[in-house]
Amino acid sequence: MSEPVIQQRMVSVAKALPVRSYKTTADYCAYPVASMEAESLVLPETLPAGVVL
Amino acid sequence: MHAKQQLLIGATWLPGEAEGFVKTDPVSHDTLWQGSSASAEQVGAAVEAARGAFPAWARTPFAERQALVERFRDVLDGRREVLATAIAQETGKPLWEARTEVGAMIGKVALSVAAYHERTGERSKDVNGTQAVLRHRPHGVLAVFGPYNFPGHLPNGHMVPALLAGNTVVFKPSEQTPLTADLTLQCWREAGLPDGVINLVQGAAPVGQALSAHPGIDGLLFTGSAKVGGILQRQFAGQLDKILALELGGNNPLVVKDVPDERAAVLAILQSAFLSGGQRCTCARRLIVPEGPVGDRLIEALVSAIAKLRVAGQFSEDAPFYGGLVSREAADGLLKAQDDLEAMGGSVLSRMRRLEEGTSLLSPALVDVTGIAVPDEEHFGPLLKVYRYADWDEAIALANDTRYGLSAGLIGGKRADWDDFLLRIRAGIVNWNRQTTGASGDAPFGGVGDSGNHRPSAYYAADYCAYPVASMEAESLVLPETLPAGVVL
Repeated sequence: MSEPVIQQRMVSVAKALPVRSYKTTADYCAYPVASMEAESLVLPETLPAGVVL
Repeated sequence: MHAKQQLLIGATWLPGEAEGFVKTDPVSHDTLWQGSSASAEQVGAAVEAARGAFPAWARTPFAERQALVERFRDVLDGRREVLATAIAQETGKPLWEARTEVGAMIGKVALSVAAYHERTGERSKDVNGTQAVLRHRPHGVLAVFGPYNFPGHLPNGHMVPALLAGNTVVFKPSEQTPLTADLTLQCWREAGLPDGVINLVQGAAPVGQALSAHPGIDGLLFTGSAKVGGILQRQFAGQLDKILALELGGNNPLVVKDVPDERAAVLAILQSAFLSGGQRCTCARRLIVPEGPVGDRLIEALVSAIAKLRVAGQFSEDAPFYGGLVSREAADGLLKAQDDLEAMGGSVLSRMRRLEEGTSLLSPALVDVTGIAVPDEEHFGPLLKVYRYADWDEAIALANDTRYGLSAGLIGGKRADWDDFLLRIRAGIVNWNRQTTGASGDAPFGGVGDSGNHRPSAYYAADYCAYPVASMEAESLVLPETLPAGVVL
């Protein structure tokens, strides 16, 4: 992997967003990436309406 | 609460003076809204009304603006079912899903108040007896252009932050969803929002053109197609005095690395590609699957689940996974897209069909287009393209082979694969072992490439609703002890 880290990550699961009273980053030098991430894919206990697996 | 079927300009509901139009339920054919579009003069009057209301609204203390917005939230809470019914009728989405949309509108208020303080709050510090202060000010009159897929939630996601920041608004909803806009504006009026702070102009492209070209607006917040977004970007390129926020589409990849749990993987794919009948901008459009038996079995299981997926009218007793598309014409377009892909050599694994003649109800399509150069288009409906890959680098290259960059997903893989995916994928919403749809409202929402113009919304919507003002301030002007070089007083 040689690509530089060019993204500013904002993980929305697992931990809360840091609370800031003002912007601390150079806004135009990065773009935000919001992720929902889990180590494993789990089937929920109840399936959504209309789904049969 | 009944539809006014009119425009709201300042304090007055009044009929449109331009061409008439009708919105019908795309499944039942019931007439939902019937009225006339705003004329160019009426669009101008709406901008004037917003301009007239702006100084007083901008001066209103934040706490009062917040209280009014919270009263609007309480009105929504009391009108949940009538709003959800209207949204389901207009968009074709199931009632259960329309109810979650009203919930998202209600939730938006607290999120926007928090974001206002966190993103555009005030700070000050003492610098040798001078106060260095950062504040934020509203732009003025903002035009909000709504999309049809979330006619309540998405314009609300622009309007609530815009109003909290002290802007006034002229709202032009999609001509496909005049009813939801009509009812939402009645909720704002019922909450006691002052006259002219929010205005409504109904109609199609001519209304949008009159509003976007009006010199009296200070900005435009748009959610919709990349095509219209591109036209607006070019139109605003020479207008440095206006802010433009574009939330556009995507041709979003969902990459499968491996399949530890086949049923869970199938469900994640269904929810990524077919939630809301594929009428979400975060929906996966391209499923990128490894060659070989693991991939083959996954595709087979997916085809089988698609065949059993329940698609039915919005109000069916046996709740469907998704309902109709927004219009019969939209459904015609999706069927044609499937035909086109097949004509290019795509192999149809699950065939999209119109489930009831004369409706927008479509079964999902799964089309293998591996090795075929297909157009990089967003098909806004239940159509998922499949690409098979030989190795990981090819999977990433396929995933990034789009002019868009809104959402992307990875299914399976180890932590190292995820870290690699995160670094190399070009998108603003990137999920691991989660569906690509259902973005969090307390994170920024936006993408790169043709998915927008680098003004993400949701948590960052506060940013484009205000501009920063930096001040150095002191109660009195004092002569320094030593004068600057070359100055004699």
